[in-house]
Amino acid sequence: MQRLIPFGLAGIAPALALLAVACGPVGPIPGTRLSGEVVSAAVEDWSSTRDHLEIEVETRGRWLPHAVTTICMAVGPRLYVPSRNASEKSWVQNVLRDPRVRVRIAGRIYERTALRVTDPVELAPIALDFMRKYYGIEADDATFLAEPPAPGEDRADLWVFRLDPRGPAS
Amino acid sequence: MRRRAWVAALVLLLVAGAVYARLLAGGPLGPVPGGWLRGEVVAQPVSDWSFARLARPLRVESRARLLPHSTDPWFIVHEGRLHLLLTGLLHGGLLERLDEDPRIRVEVDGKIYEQVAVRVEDPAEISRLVRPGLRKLFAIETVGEIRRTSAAGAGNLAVFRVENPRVAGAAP
Repeated sequence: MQRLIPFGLAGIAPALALLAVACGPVGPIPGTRLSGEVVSAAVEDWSSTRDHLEIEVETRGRWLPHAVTTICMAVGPRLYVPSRNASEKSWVQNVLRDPRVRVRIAGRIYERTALRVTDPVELAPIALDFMRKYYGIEADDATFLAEPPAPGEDRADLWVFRLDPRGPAS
Repeated sequence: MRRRAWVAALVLLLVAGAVYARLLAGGPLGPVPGGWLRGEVVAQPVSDWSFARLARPLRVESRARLLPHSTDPWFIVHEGRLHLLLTGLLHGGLLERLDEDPRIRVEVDGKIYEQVAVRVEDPAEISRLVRPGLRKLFAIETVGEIRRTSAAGAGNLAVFRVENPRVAGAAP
């Protein structure tokens, strides 16, 4: 059986990589360039994203675009994406280097700038929307903890990015 | 002709990858569910799961169907008891299987614990468990009681308590 394992590894890696390069992210496997119709009109209300549990975000990697599947939350005209254990994620590192992103929702592309949110007042409704949308639960109040976990503290280091419209020169 | 050969090669590679993941990998491959978990089976009942608190990953295998299904679920250890926090969006396969057969095998640090997963239904208990779960998994601090909303969706949360088979009264 041990002899078969390298064949299995050799099988899964190139096949998934080929699919991802060809089609954008495939579930948890990152992809490259997202294709679709680019929407240039301003979006005043993102509530329609409640029907989309997953969206795709393309960031600018060092050599190639790097696109991932992620979740999103909407609060009025603002769209947000979270990242658990953010410091370990390639796409987050890309955003820190170059905040320009392209978001694909229902086959349409929205060009945006990702900005990390740390204000507890802004984070509160995002946390409540996350709980309602993805877990079907609610509380009197909630917020994401923006500060990193203390040493030895057993909790995720979660970052939230707001996806703002790009300026005309971006 | 050449295109057909590429497609055939791709299909073959995917099949090989799927077979590897489900039969040979010895557990999930990242987010891709796997098959049988390997490890030394611990016969002693577990009275305190605190040792699993920092386990990364903690793996769970269900044998509800023909092929075993193993995954890395979200979990919390609360007051010494292990709980699984599952959502249809990410853990649909395991959720369906637990409803069919609650027997599971839990892997922590290469050791296997044969347990059963008992669904928690009491709203007060769910609130008590979800609060530390939200903090651990998503850095969310909540105020007040946690309630289910009326809207049902793919992401609806299910909480399972992991128990020794004898305690839960299930067949070993």
